[in-house]
Amino acid sequence: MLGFLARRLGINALLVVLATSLAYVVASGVMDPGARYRLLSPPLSPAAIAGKLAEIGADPREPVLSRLVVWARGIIFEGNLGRGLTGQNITQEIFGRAGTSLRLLVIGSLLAAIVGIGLGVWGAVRQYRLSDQVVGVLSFVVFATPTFVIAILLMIAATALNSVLGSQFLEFTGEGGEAGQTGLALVGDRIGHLVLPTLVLVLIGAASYSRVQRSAMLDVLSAEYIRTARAKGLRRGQAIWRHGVRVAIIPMSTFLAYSLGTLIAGSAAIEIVFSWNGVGRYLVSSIGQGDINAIAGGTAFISVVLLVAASLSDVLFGLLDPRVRGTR
Amino acid sequence: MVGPSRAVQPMSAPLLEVDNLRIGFAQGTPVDGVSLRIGAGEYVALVGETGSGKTLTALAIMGLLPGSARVSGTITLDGRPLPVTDDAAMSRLRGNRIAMIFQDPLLALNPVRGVANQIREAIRIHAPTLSRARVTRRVAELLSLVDIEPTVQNLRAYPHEYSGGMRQRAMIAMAIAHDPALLIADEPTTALDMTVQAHILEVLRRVRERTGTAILLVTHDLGIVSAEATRTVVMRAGRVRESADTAAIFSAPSDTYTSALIAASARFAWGGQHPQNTATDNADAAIPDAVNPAGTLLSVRDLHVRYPRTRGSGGAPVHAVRGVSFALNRGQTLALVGESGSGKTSTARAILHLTAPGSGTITIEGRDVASLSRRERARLRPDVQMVFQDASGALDPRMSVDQLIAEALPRGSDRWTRTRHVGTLLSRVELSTSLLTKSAHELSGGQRQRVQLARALAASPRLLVLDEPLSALDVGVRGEVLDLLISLQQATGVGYLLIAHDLATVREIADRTAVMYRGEIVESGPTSAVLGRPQHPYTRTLIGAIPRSPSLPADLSTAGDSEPVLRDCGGPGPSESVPRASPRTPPEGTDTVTETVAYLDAAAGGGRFLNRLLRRPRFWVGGGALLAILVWLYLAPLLWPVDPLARDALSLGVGPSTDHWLGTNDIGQDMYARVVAGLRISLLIGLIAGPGATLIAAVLGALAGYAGGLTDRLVSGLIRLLLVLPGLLLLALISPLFRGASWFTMTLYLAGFGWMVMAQVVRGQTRSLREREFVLAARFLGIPTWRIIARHILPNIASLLIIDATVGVSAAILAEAGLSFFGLGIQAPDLSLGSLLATGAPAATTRPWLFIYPAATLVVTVLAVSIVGDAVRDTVDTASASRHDGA
Repeated sequence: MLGFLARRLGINALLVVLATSLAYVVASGVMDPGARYRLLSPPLSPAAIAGKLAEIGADPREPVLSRLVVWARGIIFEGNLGRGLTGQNITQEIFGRAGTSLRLLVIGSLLAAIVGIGLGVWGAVRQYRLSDQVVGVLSFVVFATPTFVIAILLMIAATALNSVLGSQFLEFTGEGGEAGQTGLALVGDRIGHLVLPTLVLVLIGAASYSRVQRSAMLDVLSAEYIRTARAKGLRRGQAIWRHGVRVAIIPMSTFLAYSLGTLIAGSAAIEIVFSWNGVGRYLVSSIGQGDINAIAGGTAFISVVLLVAASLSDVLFGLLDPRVRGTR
Repeated sequence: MVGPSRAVQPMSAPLLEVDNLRIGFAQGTPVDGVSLRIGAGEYVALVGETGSGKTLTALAIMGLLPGSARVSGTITLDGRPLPVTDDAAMSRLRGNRIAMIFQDPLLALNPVRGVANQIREAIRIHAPTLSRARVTRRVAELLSLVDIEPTVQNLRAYPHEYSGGMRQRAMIAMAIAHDPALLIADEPTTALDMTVQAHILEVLRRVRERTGTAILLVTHDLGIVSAEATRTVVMRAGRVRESADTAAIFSAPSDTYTSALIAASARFAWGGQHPQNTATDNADAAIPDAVNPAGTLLSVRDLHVRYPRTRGSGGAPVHAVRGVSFALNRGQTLALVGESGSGKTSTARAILHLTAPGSGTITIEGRDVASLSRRERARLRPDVQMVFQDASGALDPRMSVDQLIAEALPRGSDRWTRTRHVGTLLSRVELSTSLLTKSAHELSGGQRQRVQLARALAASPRLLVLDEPLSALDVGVRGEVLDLLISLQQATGVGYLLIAHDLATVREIADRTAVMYRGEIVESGPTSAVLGRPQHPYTRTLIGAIPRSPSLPADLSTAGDSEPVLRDCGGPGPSESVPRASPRTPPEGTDTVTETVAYLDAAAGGGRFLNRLLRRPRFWVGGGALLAILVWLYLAPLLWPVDPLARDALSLGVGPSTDHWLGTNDIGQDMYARVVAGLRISLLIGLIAGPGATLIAAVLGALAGYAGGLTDRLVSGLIRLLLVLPGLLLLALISPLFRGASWFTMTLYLAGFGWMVMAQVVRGQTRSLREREFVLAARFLGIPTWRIIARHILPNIASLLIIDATVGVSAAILAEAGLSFFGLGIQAPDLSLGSLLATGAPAATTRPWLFIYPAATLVVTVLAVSIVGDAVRDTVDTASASRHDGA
């Protein structure tokens, strides 16, 4: 078991390095960080632009790989993700936003997993009944709708609700913190602002989780050991609950980590719609500006999040399935 | 027909009585009026060929039939009718008064819970008040009774850590936890080796002696029946044919079918009579070293096969074959005998070049296979052919009999010659040409095995490797195929390397026999000597494990004129004109309920993929909506000829009105015209990028998966590199290259970066298909790689590709929209649904028409495509469930 986890952790760590480097190289290859200086009037000379870029380690005259090495050295020895185009400290920018993004992502994906697994199991047990069909149709509608459209539609609905109620019942701008910086006021305010964004993330997450869980559960329902459990004298519900659900969750433990990438992309859209100052929104605007260091830094953050999720799912996988723990 | 009237009255009052049981499904009635009775403590065998309804009958007694089954008739236990409609009452009886064990204990035990834990549960269900200590004691007691030592290790182990025999014995322990009055054993030894089978049967016998439980043994194996059961019930096509004392049935069967069945199985029974094989007489001359080199077909010397270490093997490399040497003369048969894990299959794989031998030489017709160049080896390929155990897996499910055999013929001949050739081969294996257009799953097991033989013979092989060629067949068909094998050898002079565990088959056909045990040949020689006077203890164990009845007369082949009766139940060849007893009798290899139901489904539904798809309402909903959208897109400019770029200076940013159905934007452009134009672009992108990505995935994935080696490493490396970043992030990173892109570059990018996940799936599927038996068969025939990919690999994953293409359409439309919203894709003033949504988003609360209408259009379109895709997926799922592709 420990060997299995160590091996998986090693692979995942390698993937973080690879992803970040790839992002750095691709961004350097296709982006033009000097564009913003060329728009100035009077325009700067190419040499001056290169000089400005050299200050932050993005000198286009340097080969990409050596710039990457310099940037990586900064991370390894100083824990410093470098500086952005406007000279901002990227480490601070990202860490300052990390809490905001993680709050949304962790709460959202956990709730999505719970709701999705529950709906999936329920749907499989009640296959082809009305409730199963309704959940199925709803998840198709969610699949067919881009995340930002869901977010905006919810925002429109919240506006309508607020105007009917005559008060700011549902918050949909910013992540809160205006009502006070301490104690219950802050917590309450944060939760108030979390409701709508989290709801969007839960919707898109649960839609896909429930489909995967449903088909995994259907496989399990026709498994012979369920029949064995009933032959022992368990009722159908008992057999499904005691013998089926745990086996059916095994494939989910891998899928949860695998699909987190999609949820992160979704949460970037959510951050933009609800004006949250998160890493996703920062990364998107950095891509728009061609800010290579910020892009690579943001990618590193996302990769680490994915690494942690993947490792947790490996642990879960190992706990759920004795077959991967290796023979004694 | 002789009905159950001849049933011998049980000594005591019956424990269980089944009266006129009928089990119907929407498509047929596989159990049609079964009556039987079991006395207390009796050992009753329920015998029948595949599809006779015996397992369904057993499940009906347990009340464990699927919900779709319609059951009528009565079942009484202890004189009271079973409460079949009351699940709560039934579950109080299950595991308590009646218990059951199943065919495959690996599937029947929960893989994630410890074995002892599952036995504990069985105890506690009906004795919830029992103390922990007493439950523990009972577990140990039960395990000891079935010969599993209750050591800490055995108690903690999970099912996958047990051997197959231990698992089945643990199942028995679980079933007898409450000393049931009746234990139903459904083919309890079919999945197990011969010596393990003997042990299981012994444990069952002991359990019956100790607990006094009655046993209902469901089996197809008459050898076991005659050795174990006191009374026998013979079933066929859902009806009981005969029911009497076992001894009576075997000595004087009164039913024609029963006597035919017994006659057919007598050939494979081990009565201790002298082998009747005539070929063995001259076999003494065929001692490997004394063989005339000119007559040697195959010679294997000091063969070693090692497999690299895997996680499953606990880290050690597996040394599967340890220095095996043997020789086979032209036109003769050599049997490799042994149990699973003995190395006989590894030896065969090495001879077929499927496994690189670790060391040793293999010569075929005097040529050392290893020393041949690639081209020479390819030319040699057709010389060695293989007949697989599972004929349904060995025949490509998507090809007709005609195509399957024609493919194996040497290329270069014209159509007419081929047709004639195929006809000749079919008659040689005694099949009618009326089967030419059928596909494998429409044939019976015996017919499939004959098609396999015809295909192998088409290549005019010198050596035919027969891997358990009879063991998947019903006993009635077995003898016929065996006779065919013998006559084919006499006619063509082909040499057989027979891999078998069934010594009766070996006795009938093999000139020489080599017994393998743990990777070595422990005994070899003429078959009559090896089986008649076994020297090695392992050979004696093997022979001793064959079930045999002391009461069985030595010679039973007197049943004479009953042959045709057997033939009509899945009868191949000459009996083709004889109507089958029941048109709804599933072919061999379909014994579980789900498979039977699936078979009935397929038989009733008939039809191919497209037919089934067209019957799905969802397909019509989604497809209809999609069609409507396309028609609308085509007609829209005609009905409402407004230029999406034209500005109406009099209505800037106004809501829907009669002038502008969907309102206008800030500069007075008509939203309806813009939505139509945007959808046109988005749909175009989706319809090209989705299938485009699928195409790339199919080509690269199939290539990498099939070729392996460097190609595979390059493609897999590229895939892994591209997948390191989450999909949308990768697209976003590349996006500056297509900023302000036209729809065309956007399409290229979406297709160019949307294929990786599917390529991995295709690669994996190809790799497993490559090892599937029907692809192996094609490889043995020397069919070129591209042809195998085109004819055997891609058609078999076509359904996956169709699904991916439809999903890809939706995904591309959504990705386009997402990128536009992030400011990275198509931007205003260029039109697409994405750019419309991105422009409309900031105004969504103030001027909703700028956002809602494009959004609704997008959702409806993607939904329509998804519903079509879902209908396709569902059709594929049921299709693959009802096809008998084998494991």
